[in-house]
Amino acid sequence: MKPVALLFSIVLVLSTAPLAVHALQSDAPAEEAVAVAAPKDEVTAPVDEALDPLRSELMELAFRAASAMPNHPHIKNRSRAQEQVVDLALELGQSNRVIEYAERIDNWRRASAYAKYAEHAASLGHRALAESYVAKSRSNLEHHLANPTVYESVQPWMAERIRVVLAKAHYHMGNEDAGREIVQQLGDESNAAVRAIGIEHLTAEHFEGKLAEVRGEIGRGGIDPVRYGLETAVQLHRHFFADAEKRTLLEGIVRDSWRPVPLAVRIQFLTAMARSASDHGDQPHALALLDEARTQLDSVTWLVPDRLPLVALLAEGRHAAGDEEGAAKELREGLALFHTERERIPDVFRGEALRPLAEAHQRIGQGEVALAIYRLALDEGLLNPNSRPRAEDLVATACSMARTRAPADAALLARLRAAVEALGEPW
Amino acid sequence: MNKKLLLTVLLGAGLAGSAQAAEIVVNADIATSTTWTKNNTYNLAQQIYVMPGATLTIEAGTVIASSPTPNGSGSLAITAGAQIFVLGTEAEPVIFTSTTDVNTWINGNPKTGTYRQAANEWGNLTIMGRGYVAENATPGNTATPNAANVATMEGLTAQFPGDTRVLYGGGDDEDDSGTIRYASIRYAGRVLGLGNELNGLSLGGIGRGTDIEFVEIMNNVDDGIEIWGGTVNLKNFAIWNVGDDSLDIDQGWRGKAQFGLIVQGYSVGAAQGSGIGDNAFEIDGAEQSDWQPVTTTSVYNLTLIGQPISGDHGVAYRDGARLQLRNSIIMDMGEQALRLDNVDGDGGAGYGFGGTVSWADTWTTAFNAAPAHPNDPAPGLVGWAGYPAQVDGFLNDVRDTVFFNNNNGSAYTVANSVGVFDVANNNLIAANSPVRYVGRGPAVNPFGSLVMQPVVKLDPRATNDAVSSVGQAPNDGFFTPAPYRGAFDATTNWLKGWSAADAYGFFTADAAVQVRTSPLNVPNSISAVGLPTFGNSSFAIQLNDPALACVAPGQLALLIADFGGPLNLPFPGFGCGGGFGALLIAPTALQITLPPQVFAGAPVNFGLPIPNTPPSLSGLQVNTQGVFVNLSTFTTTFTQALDFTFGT
Repeated sequence: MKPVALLFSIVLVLSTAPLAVHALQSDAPAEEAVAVAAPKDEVTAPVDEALDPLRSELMELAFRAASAMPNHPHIKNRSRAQEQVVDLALELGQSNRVIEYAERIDNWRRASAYAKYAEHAASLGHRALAESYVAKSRSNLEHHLANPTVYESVQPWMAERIRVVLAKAHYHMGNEDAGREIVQQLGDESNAAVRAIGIEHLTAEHFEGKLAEVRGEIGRGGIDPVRYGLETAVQLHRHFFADAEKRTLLEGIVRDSWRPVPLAVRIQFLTAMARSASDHGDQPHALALLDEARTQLDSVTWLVPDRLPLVALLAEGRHAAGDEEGAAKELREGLALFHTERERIPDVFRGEALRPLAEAHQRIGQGEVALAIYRLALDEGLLNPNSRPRAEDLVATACSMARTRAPADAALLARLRAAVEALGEPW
Repeated sequence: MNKKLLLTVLLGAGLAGSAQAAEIVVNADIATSTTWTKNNTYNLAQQIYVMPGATLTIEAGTVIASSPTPNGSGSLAITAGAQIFVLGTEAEPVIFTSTTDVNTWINGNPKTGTYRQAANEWGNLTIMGRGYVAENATPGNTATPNAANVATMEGLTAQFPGDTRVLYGGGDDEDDSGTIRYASIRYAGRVLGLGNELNGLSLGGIGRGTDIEFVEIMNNVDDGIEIWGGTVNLKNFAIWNVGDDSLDIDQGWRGKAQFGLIVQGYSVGAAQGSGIGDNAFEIDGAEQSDWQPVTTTSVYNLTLIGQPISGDHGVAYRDGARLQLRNSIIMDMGEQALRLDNVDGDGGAGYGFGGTVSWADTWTTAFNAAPAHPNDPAPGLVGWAGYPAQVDGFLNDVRDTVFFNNNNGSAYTVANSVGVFDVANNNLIAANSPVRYVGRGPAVNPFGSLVMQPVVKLDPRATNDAVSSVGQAPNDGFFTPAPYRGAFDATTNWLKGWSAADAYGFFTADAAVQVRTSPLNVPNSISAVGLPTFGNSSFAIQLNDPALACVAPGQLALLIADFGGPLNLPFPGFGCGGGFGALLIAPTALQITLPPQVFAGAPVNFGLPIPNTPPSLSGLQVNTQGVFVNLSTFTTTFTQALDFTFGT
């Protein structure tokens, strides 16, 4: 998952449903609120959203590629790739496929997929369905915990990850006690992820309380409190951007904590705040933040697969701020860097370097260039003689194209189909 | 099979010890996914890289046996982006060794073999991943965790500018390099073409998507297992007779470990730290103490057995490392049980450097309360697992651990200074051994003045203070709650059946008693009092209630003991009524008769106090049988036979 998506996915995924307001958890200020989906008829299930045939096929190709990997010995790789497609199906509102895909996952990630579906259903108000999938997730996880394969031992982070999602599902259903019970079992990092629920629904009267919480977390020291505090500050910056005093204050808080922050994440914060500025019509401020991010980017040497996703972030940010030429320049330079350094990048890592550039082109409206880069990513991903990395690359490329609504001409689609069909020994 | 891979199949020219297996000489990198099967043996002719994207699967029972060559010998490295699946089982482990070792196997049976004081006979197994590392030698690396921070693997050399095969580190703490189960790595450590040395198992930047359990390192010239950064977890591992640190941690490891046995010794006659064991467990925080990630881990159920005369330390702390050591055993250390090295000797700085937590404060700072530091990882750092290993306690602590026979004058200086023996920690210095048996061979001087007393027999199972503990590992999915101290409970040695230590006979036999009979012997006429375990001074053979065997008081009672082995049959003897029969037992030169006793109308006990027996007696079987002699008629009555085996 790419930086921005990861950083803010926790919040963004929760912003889709008709909502009521309930308290989040016991240690939250009383006036703080989180959205809870209004319950629907308890026997209903989410309806699949309309999906164009191209994206539908891309998603299907991705799942076929993932499922082509044999469980022996690749059950971990196969299941991981399958879950990526589950995530895409959720993102595209394809509930039926989520279940269909989940049923074909053969390790603990099936429980993870059930949990995600439960959260999805809960966020849309399908309480009975959500509860049934919470139960299925728990049951399936217990099964896998009790029956580990020879390839994979059970590790706590697996269950922890699922618990985070289940906690969110409970909060969406208004089952605060159940959610709180799960939260109490979580490590600090996961706990913070759950506590981030609902920031986008805060109102002005909640600001001071949340700000105090941010300062408290940062001031408390320790890795996870600082992490939570800064994430929250950036999210508040977006939510309250229209208030100049508040946004200045929040930017100051972020900068006061500047030194501990790795460069990649500084750039993520800067581009996120720049996007907030652009979305609120303050392009000059956005560009200033992006220039600052660029300075950070150029201050150290990066591996190309690490640098190009950040370049793509900058380009998208410049585009959003109205700096079309700047955006194009970032992407041109990024692509040139790839070609210059190509031989130094193992073939299995080239696709992950290129896809962010393609996604950025697509998002800024340069579909043809995006398509060309996707073609290149596809070709590079197929250079490796082994089908396991090919399959993983195909999954990533097909998901990326479906996610960004990238166009695909007949030739590219045919090449994708053929590549999926050709998967086989050696893995 | 990769067409580009040049494999020489030498059918019919198999290794001496495995005559039915074809030997496949592997002499090119593996770019295409490949499966190695147990019907072949694989000889690594050079440094072999499994290239990014390729998967090497090794089936249960496969032997990888490499030959020394004039310029070194073969070695196996898994590059970042590649995967390895070592799918050994308890019944059929995967063995990485030398052809010299295989030549000692009896009829090619990998569960046999003769131990040799050797190492450096082939390279090693190196795995490189893309987890976060803290390494300050690579230009451009940053002090804060960064996906761009990479390092060159120790012992590997780039063959051309931009050779990424030798690099590890990245930004994915969940990186998956595959699975290793039941792997025995023996006699390794040789770097191809160089004078350097390799660790038995090198793990650089390995993510927690990788699974490693049941791994053994026997006789390596450098470290046993070395971990640089990453988050990989280890379970059930054993490290014997390595020439440097047995378990060595660097560059910010954040995984967990449980059930580890370390037996310090030596592998070749070389300096300490290069042939002769250094620290049992050496744990560095980061290459520079204020860089991150810093090693932060929780380790349960270790058994560390040192060298009592010239051995080094038990646990050596460096460069800001944070270790929670719980439910463990630290014994027989030549120097300090816990040691503050503080720095790693390569110019780095120690605890407290650059505003990091001081050494003393790491023992009083809660695991989740380290003050913020400029190099703390960032919120939302992509692929960063954080510091998941510690869930309670202090950044450094030792709990529920038993110390034994650490006799250096400063053995506990550091431990005392940081409150290890505060009552709340439930640690203790034991008067009796916490493991069942440690048998050492004669003291030797393999290098200079260093005196080694190699462990030649061991029963690592818990006894005395190790049998139970106050606390135990949390039931978190990885750790197994184990309410005892050390790597083994009181009943099960999980190394038996698959390890080199077992094949070479390092483990003591189980003490055993068995009654044999023939129809003519008096039923229920003999039994053992206790078990013939080393040091059991009350062991005895009892001739049961001779009156039931028609033996009248006043008869002479004798006990014949014979070392001839189990093929001897008991005297067919005589039940009530007497009479002669054929003498089926074959007396040997070792046969002895204990001093006779006179039957006085009660069971007769022949005491056989067993000293803390020399290790060579482990497994030795003794056959005994009782005889009653009527001093008037000289008729004899024989009991059943009773066989017993010296052991633990």
